[in-house]
Amino acid sequence: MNKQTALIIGLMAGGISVAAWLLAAGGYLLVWIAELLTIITFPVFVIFIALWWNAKSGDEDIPFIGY
Amino acid sequence: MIPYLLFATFIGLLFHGIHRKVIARIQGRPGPPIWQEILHTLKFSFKETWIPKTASQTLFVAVVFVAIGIWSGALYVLLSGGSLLLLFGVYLLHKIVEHGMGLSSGSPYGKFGAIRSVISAASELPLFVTVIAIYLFTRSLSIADIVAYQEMYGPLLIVAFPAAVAMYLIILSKMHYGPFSIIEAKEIVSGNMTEHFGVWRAGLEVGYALKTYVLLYAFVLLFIGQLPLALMLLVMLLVLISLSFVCAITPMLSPYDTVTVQSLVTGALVIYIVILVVVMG
Repeated sequence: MNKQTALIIGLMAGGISVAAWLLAAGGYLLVWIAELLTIITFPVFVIFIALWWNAKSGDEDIPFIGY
Repeated sequence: MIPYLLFATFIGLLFHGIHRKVIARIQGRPGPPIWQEILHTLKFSFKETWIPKTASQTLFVAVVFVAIGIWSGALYVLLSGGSLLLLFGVYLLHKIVEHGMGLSSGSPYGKFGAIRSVISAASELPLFVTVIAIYLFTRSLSIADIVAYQEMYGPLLIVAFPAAVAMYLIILSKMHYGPFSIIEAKEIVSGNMTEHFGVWRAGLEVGYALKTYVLLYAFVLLFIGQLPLALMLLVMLLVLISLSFVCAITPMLSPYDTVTVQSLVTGALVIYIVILVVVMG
């Protein structure tokens, strides 16, 4: 996966969760909906941040090919 | 609430590390440092990641998301004092995750692990009994009501001790390196997790850390009551160390022996329930 795409999806998922809780705290969203959104977005946040971490950023070092 | 989920994940991973350390020290080995499982998860997250050619791609990836999602949900159920039946439902969903994880991989080791996860469904029987026993005392399946009952009448650990033993057995059956950990036994490599590596394994470690946190939290909440967070974590740690002790001195049972032991315990607890029903009306 493209490094930037993974980061965008991961941050969007985290952002949705944070926004949901802020809205719930302000009384604009039911708490159970905020919880449901977090349950859906938290796995996406974890996996896509890891995929972003994992993805290659372009030109890598020449791999070690043995002695 | 992402900060609390990350906190629970961190504590769960730390507990896994402490679990390994305690087992090692009891067995006379130095063991890994207690933060090893945190490093493990970070290490997996930058290891090369792919999906095996023989795998069912959608299920292979989906189980990782589901594993994290269901235990995040379970944590909310606990914290919000929701229904005990929802927690029970999450436990059953976790069984589907274990099964799907092994079957989706296409690996024979994974499939053996998946089949063993079906066999080890016997570990859910004591959970039924726990739920029934708690209901008989508190007349409610709401966690908030159960906590309120204990504030008035004292911990259920004392009055419903056999139910606590059943719940303890359930947690033990979900611990790594335990007598009932047949789905990840070494003779089948890593069982149902064999083919999940890289980011997928890191995700599973997060899900399992949440699972450990939730199960230990649930045990303390259901049988001792609501405690301040620091004290809650300390009691959870003590329960964990006792589990580690059992894991350290007990060899892994054969698949059919695990079913036999869990069925016998369930049978004994059913007798306990019948007596409770007769005595309490």
